[in-house]
Amino acid sequence: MHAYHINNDNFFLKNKMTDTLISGVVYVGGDGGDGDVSEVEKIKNSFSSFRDAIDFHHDRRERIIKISRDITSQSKKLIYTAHRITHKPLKSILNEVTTKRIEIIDMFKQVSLDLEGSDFHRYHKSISPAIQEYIEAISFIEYLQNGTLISKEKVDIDFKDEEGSQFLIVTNEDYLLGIADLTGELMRHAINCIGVGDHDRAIKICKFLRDIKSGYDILKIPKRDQLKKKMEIMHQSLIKVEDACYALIIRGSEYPKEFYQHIVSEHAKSFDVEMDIDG
Amino acid sequence: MSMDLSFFESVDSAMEAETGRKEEILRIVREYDKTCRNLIAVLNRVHSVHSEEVPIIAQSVIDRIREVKQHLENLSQIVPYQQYYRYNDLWTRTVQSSLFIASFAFYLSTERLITTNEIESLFGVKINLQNDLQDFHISIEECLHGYVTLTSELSRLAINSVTAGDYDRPLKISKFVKELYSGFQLLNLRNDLLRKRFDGIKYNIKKIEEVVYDISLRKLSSSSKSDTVNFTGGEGDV
Repeated sequence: MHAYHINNDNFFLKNKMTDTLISGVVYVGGDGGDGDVSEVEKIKNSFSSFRDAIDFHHDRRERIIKISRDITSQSKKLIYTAHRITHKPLKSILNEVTTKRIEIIDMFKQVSLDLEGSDFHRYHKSISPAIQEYIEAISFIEYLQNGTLISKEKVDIDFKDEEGSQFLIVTNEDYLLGIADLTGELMRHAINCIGVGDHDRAIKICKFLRDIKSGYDILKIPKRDQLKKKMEIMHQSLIKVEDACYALIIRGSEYPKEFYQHIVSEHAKSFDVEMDIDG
Repeated sequence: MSMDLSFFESVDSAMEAETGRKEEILRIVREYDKTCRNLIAVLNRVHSVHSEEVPIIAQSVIDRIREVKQHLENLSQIVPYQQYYRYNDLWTRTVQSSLFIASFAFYLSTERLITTNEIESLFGVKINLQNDLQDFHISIEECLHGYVTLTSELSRLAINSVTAGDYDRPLKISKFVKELYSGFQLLNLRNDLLRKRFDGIKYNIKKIEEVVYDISLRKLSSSSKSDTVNFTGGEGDV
């Protein structure tokens, strides 16, 4: 091997020395000795197969991200629909929501084909935002319907096929992150309720938010975990609802209802402006 | 209390178990990292010794790759089936470093690029060439990171081998690194860290070219001496 390289260098120098001296730039290798072609070829062959494998991986990741975005935007629409409950009967909202849910679940089924085996954890980061957004939507609907927190088991049902086997795993983290986002929606919903004068409902939501928060308070969340940040927001949402409920109780006895509603809705608007960053 | 908190309690214990596993992995990675640092320290000596000693040093490092193999074996046992990607961030830098060590030592003893097959047999771990491995493995990206580091270390060696009186090595390094670079040029890299590091290879090549230029200009390499005989008709025959 050693001698071989020396020979090759000789070969190159005989051919290239003139160029080198004239241009001041040295081109060694590449088209050197013909015996070495196999070594370059070997490198090129293995890099070609690297390229194919890496391209395959990136294509798949992009496919997943695309569906993930679609699911996220569809889920947001579900949430907007659900918020109209303050102006619309529950029944018509549930009807509207059910067809949308089926469409979203179909998208999850489609993407699950790219998330099998060890690929689940490989691409989980790309699909997780969609799962969280969907959980946020269905947990909000669940609350409007039954006044309860959707259980992890009930979430899992949407990710099971006709034979009852899970086509996509929902991790505990996905669930916790989705429910953490739910609290933001509930805050808005509470403010909307106050806006239309439904005070009892607002106070119920406040209690429900406290219950959820005590659940999260049990968890020892690792530093720099994304859940940490969401819990901060959750805490702020709760405080906003608590403040609004406080305003309700303390001033409710002093003013006529219409006058009071005006004050609170002004208050509510300022909350909504603040919370819109959450989008 | 109107809500059942048992779910959160069970999640909390699951999270605790997860933290425990991560700590255990990190403990193995720390040992693995220590081995890598030791091997790099050994390899550093090639920058200051005579060229005859280089293959001996390289071989001693290749022999010690079995320590790396053991660490990888330990990792592969702790990672559950199909959960490689859940934890691979914890060890990827160390794996990259050990791949650099292997490719550098291998180059110094054979003067060619270590192949994926050779990595697999040295490390006792498969490389995920088909995107289909379910268990612990080495990724292609990790190999590529190792190769990029190799080009930068070889540019350093090109300079130092001149200082140590070996004028032939820079020529061989130049040829080799360019071949390796032509391989990298076949890849469709995204805007990630690998892309950034790939962009750095050309500076390593430039550095090596400058060394080769200096040597060629002064007719210092053994091949240029013998070549000079042919080229200038005896002038260099001293």
